[in-house]
Amino acid sequence: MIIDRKEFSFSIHESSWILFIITILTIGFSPSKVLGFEGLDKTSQNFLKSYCIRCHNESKQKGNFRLDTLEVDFTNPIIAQKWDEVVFRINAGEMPPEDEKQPSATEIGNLADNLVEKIRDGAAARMAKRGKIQQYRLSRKEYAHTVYDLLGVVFDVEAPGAFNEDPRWHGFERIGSLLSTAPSHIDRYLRAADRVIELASLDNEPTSRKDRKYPDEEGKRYYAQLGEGWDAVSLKSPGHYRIKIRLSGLPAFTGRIPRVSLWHHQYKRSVVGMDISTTEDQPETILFEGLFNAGSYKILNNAQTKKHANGGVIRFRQGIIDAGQKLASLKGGFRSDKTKIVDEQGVPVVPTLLMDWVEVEGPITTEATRKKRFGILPNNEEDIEEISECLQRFAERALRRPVMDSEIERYIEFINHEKEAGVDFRSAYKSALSGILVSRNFFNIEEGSPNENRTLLNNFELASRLSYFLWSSMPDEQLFATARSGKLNDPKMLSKEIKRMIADPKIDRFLDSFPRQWLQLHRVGMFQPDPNLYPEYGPWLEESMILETTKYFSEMFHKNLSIREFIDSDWTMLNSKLATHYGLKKPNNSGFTRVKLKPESGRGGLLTHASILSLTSDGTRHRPVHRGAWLSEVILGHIPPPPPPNVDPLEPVKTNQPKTTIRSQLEAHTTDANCASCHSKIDPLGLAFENFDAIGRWRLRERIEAGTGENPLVDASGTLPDGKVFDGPEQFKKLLAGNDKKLAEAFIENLSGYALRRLMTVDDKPYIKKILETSASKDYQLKSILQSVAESELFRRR
Amino acid sequence: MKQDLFQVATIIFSGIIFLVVYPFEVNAETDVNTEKGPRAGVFPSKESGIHVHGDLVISDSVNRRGALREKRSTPRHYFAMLPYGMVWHHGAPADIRDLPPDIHMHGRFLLPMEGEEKTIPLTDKLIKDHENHRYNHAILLEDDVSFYSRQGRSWKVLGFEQGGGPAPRLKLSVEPVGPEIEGGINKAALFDIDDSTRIWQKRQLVSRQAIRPGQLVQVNLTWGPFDSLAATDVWLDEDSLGASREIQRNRHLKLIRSRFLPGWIDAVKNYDSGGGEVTVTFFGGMDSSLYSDIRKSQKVKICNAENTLRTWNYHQEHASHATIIEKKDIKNPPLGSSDLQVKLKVVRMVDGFRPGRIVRVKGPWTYVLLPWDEHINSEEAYERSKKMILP
Repeated sequence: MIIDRKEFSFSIHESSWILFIITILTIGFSPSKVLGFEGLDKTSQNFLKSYCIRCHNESKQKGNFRLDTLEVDFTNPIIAQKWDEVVFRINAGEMPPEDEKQPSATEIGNLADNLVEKIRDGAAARMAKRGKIQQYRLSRKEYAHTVYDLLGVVFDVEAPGAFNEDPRWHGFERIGSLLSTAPSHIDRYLRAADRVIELASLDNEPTSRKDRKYPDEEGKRYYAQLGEGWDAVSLKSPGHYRIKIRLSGLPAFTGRIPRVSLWHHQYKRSVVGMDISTTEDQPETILFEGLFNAGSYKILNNAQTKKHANGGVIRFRQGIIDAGQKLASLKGGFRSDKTKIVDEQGVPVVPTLLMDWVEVEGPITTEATRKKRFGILPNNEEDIEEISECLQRFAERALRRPVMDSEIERYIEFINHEKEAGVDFRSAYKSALSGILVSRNFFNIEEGSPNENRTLLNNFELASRLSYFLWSSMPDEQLFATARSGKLNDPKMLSKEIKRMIADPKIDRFLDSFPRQWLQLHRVGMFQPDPNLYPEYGPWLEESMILETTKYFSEMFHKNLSIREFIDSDWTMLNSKLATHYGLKKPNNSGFTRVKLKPESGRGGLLTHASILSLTSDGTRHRPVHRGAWLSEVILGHIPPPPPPNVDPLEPVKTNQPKTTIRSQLEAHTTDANCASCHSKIDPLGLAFENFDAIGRWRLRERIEAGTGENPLVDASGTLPDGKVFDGPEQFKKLLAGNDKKLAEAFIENLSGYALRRLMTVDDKPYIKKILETSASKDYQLKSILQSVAESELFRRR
Repeated sequence: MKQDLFQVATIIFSGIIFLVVYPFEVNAETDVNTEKGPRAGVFPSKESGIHVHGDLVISDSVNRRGALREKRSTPRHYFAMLPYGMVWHHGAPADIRDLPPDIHMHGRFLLPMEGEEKTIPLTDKLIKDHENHRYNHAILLEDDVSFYSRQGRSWKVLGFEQGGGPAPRLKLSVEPVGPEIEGGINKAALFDIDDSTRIWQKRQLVSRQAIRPGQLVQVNLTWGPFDSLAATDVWLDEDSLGASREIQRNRHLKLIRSRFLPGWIDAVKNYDSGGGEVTVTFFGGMDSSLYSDIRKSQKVKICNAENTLRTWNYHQEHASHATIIEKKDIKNPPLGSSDLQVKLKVVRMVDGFRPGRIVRVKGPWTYVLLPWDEHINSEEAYERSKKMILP
């Protein structure tokens, strides 16, 4: 067939048009190019498309950076790093450039939040990535508890040169991925193991003695002003001791009560102490009983003695007087350079101790301790069966699992080898025991098997996880027995064990350890308050602050109160020192007492504890932004993104300028879009507590050292990110406590992280949700939450 | 009748007002009861005490004590300076250590201060025969030139006379110019003068020939034979006296700057954590630049002292750092007091910081180590210093 060319021929003009239309259609209908970040939420995608992709794509890579191909695999370190850079640039206002279309503060905030969360999740996921076996090194405190529970040996892990300090992750010192093992750890474990075995060997049990010491002779009294004391106690070996002291504690003319403590000379810290208030004529006998390290101790009138700014030192006095002599007789009678003892009325000027005698009994080896050490040494050095049995028994307890014969054979071989080299049996055997204590299976908690990828813990692993969660130590015999029976995984049996363990006195270790880590109490006193600005701050006040918080937690646990009372309550735990600090009525007894608070006290809940309020201070002033960041992280479970670099610090007020509060200097946080994106969520949480100064005292005006005019009034009002308004800490606490579900969720995440020794990831969220639902049915009571976590499916998973 | 009644009523009313108001006219800081010694912490009234004069025959410069002998055969009148007692020599503030032996002095002596009754040993016989020896704590001790010039007195030279008798001596004849003064020579007098007398004119030592009748002069005196008064120094003009005054002033400045400015504690506020506040009134009679130095200071040091003004051990080391938090000018300060009171915040509330106790305050002066025996170094030394040991 011949086609007529005329029908199919086009003019050049017509051809151009056709080509143009085809091109347009091709472009219009070709499938869209897939961008790497399309795995993000829509809001973030829209942001990036609107403000970023134009300059960072295939055809244009400003700054040599392509965004179009940047994927969203946050477990990949390189990808995560690039997304971190994106957040930083946008946060810092560097991107988009000034001459480009600018996003709003809200848009920036949303993007930053979303990306940071993704990055953080990725970090957690990376950290949580684990092989078939996971090993979590014991913290040094857990090591100390373990050797005590294993062998009844007191080993001071915080002694200089003993163990390295454990790294922390936001206060937690049990995060497995951070607790790596270095050669220096092994070296210390070797030395520690030898020492522990030496102390535990029954043939070295020290003789217990009871000695009473008098100042100079009977019929004399030793007086000591602040910071002075009597070098009266010397312990040759560590162990369990009872130390009794007969003394009077004379308040100062202002009513301030002395605190007596035992000060360890070598470690330069007080190990125990208490407030004491008695008259001169009616001394009291006090008792400190517990585990003490070897060394020399001073019975100290514990208070900070100050160095003056220009170098002068306050010198206080101590000395010996006759038992019948009144302290008032020392008025003006001693021409010296030291502080006067009594005022014109014969009353002590500073809190003063008058000591009559001290009695030390110990080291006491209890039957419980002997039982722990029973059978670790064989009776017959030639009986290989007995030797194997002893080693097996010890190894199973130390390694917290059944031990195979082949593992014990290695130690038998070692003993034989030592004997051949001329070492006596006992020494060789003890070296074998030390070897067990240096085994990685001892100082690590091991979960998993080499030959299978388990998701659930076995009975022994579950027993270890449970005991280290609740007791910071190894399982006891009963828990071991339950694990051996194979029934610990049974929910009913597990629940029964948990209840038993919660009722055991060793739960006190959890009640001390967890709040310290969760609330980051290690930061208290990290920046020591300036003694010129806060002369009343000292070691005992600092310790009292921390004890208020740990005892508050403990009281909440024992009374099984709702976690809402973490935020808002009408009570707290006080001793006389803290009561004075808060301007409240002193309790009648020494030590800590639960005290009901009046509404006008301004106190109630953790957030008004001096420990919490002061741990974010810098030594001279409070820092509201840091307070807000702490609250966001610890209470609400949201870690704010870090600030961009090169942010100017706040300048102190100049002497010729009117005095102005820190809050007013933070105005930029609300007016600058780059700042406001994050700070609108952080600052109100801290500004709610403007009524509390750097060491947690209540105030109405903020003391500004330099500047003109009166000290300005504080402003504790604010607006939460959800728009709710508050005026002062009381209203703020009510708003916060009203959202108990959010509080509980954050708390459960923290508690679970503590229990499992790792950070929670998106994969844990469904299990957390179940714990939350169980807790809600019990009004979020603290003990119930703990039980729910320990009984949860999450807890039984690797 | 009515008018008489009115007059009687007026008189009675005035009497009542007088009896009520009169006590309040008394300076609250002084003690008008001159029959008792002054109390610690209270300056005595101007009317207290008696005038005593004599040659300075004993001087204990460390403890600020000594003895005057009025005549050849009279017993020594032992005395201690009150803590705020002032010494003047050559018309300038001075200390016992500046006074040459045997110089004729005028003193205002009071009964012993409360608590110091046994400092100067007295026997019953002495008191019976010389009751005025009970007055043995001096608030003021002056040489003749200071005594007379302070009260507007000088001497007009009449000429020289040759004395007769068993010990003929040349005498300077003078008559008083100016008001009569208690305890002074208020009529023409003859002072022994010889080659040992220093004659001062225009900052130079000159010969007796420079003395002319009609000149107005000042003199310092000492014991002469047969209880006469012998001139040790004669100043012929203000230039020469001014020069002597200036030298003495500087000597005393050096002394106080190295020993610190004395005062006593009016009030104490203790802190229950150590340290506190003390209010100090400085003693008077010293160079004004010393008080100015303190007024200009903020950071000082303060140490405690005894009534002899001796401090304990090395006073620098035993001093407390202090900050001046308040300064107050005292209007019309009583005798013994300066016009300056300060409140100090002290780092160390030393046992000696109690109301009425003596302190010494270091201003912006260079610290120097002093001879060991000026301080009280031990309890034994303290006990020894409590009482004057008579030779």
